[in-house]
Amino acid sequence: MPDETQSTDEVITPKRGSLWTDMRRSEDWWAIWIGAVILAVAFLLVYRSLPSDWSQTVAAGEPVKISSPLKGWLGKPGGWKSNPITSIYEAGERNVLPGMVGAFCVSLAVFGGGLAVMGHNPLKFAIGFIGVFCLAVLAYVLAGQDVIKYYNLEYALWALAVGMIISNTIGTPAVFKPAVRTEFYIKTGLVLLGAEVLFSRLLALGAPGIGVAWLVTPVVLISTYAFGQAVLKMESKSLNMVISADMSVCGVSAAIATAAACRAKKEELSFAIGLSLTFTVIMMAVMPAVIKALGMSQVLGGAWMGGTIDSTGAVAAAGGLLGEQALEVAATVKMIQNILIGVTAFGVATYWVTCVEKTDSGIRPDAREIWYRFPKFVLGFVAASAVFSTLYAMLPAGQDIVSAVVKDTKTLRGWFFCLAFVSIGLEINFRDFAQYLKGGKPLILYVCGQSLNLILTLAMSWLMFEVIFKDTVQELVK
Amino acid sequence: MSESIPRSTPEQPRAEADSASGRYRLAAAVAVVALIWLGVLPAAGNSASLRSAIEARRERGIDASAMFYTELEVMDDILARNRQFRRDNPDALWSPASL
Repeated sequence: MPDETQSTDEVITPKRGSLWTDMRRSEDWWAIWIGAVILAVAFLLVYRSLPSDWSQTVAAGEPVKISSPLKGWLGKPGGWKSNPITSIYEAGERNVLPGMVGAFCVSLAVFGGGLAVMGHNPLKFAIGFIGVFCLAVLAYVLAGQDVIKYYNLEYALWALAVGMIISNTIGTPAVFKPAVRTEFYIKTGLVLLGAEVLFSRLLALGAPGIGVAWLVTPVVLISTYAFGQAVLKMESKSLNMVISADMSVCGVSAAIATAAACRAKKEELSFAIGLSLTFTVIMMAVMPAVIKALGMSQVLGGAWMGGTIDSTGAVAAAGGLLGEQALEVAATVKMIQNILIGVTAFGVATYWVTCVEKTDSGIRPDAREIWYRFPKFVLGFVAASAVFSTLYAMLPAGQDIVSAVVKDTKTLRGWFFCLAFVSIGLEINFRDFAQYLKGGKPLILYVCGQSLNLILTLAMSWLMFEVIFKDTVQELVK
Repeated sequence: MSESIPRSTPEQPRAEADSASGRYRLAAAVAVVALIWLGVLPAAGNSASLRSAIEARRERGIDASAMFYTELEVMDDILARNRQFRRDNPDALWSPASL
């Protein structure tokens, strides 16, 4: 990832710029500026489009109909059955072409502009970006096929595959390379994701939700990481951390945030995502069957699956197989776990710059050094979360306004992540994965960590949902 | 003058062979992807059991490929019910005796 933090045991200490220079020149800061501008524009557009009598409507306790003016101007390919063209255009049904062009133009403008200020050639970037964006479109179309969607095979996987097919056959064309900007896309996408991390969601299930999602999850995350280091002696601490986070928190999104926070290698992020998706597909089919076979209640089964299956969509799908109550509990527990992503990214980034990189260089960094090394985009991620959580809680009709804003920004966030995974695919070789399979340590780590997760989550779910809060939860889901 | 004439080097035939082989491999990969996505998957999706399961999920607003809760349509209804319950029973999910 970025090399602004080279190890300090070098004889010649690299010359460091001032904070102001950093703010103008580094990708981390540009991710924050771009994310902030997109969120601010989306918010202002929604706010200006509110009906003139909205405050009276809210005061009267009536719902306010809010829709974003950007609706239709930002889009991505949708689902399809047998004809991939219908994912983009279907007469009388769907036309996302203007939305895709809108997403292309916005992405090109913000990243091209940022790179131009950072001293890169914007024209070369623009030419390459056309190619990378087309590959991202292809990845979205592949991911939109009904059967692929049904089995939770997310676009990240296909974006990686599309990039890797190109790089491992004809090689990444030189003209694409100026637009292969994995870190820039990921960091900007994460700042946008911050607006979706709303802290009031944390309270949705009260004490039972916090018990399952916020007590068990950190214990499993830390235990799995410690197990990987102390018992398995994993060579790569960052791979150890990314697998621990995606397995214990919420799959691909947690993997992306953690990998960026601990500066994991691209191959490590890709490998961790592949591992997580593989187990997610297995667990979303097996867990409902096991829960039925054991005669567990829907509430207990839902809480267990919500706390253990990695991917958010797969949790809802597995919950739906059990019934409405299981779906409601599973999806809510997973949502509460989703919110943990901000704390995880911040905690991992802090731990990495204060402890892990200290060990590598042998010198404990002082406060200035920690600030210098800290991945600044994490601050943007946390700030976006704090601002939108406050707007959500404090503004009249804040829930509806924030939801309308997020409907637009999540589309761009999806494109940025998709572009990032295409870029990763364009940069790595199939052979790079072989080293992670040697000895099977990552697989052992995942299986052991997930086993602990299954046991602890079941115990906590039983205690909270079947013993202490049984009547309350039954009342909630009836 | 003779220096400006491009000469073939021993690496050139090998590079051309690699390039041709790369193009063949890309064509093969594209063919496999097309076969799976345009043939196998649509056929699998047309089987009665899978089709009804896919439709049932779509009707309920469940997208199994959602990466974050904001991508799940079904969350809107769940959260609306949840808000109503917490409004009516503000302490119920914090103190079991308060319901």
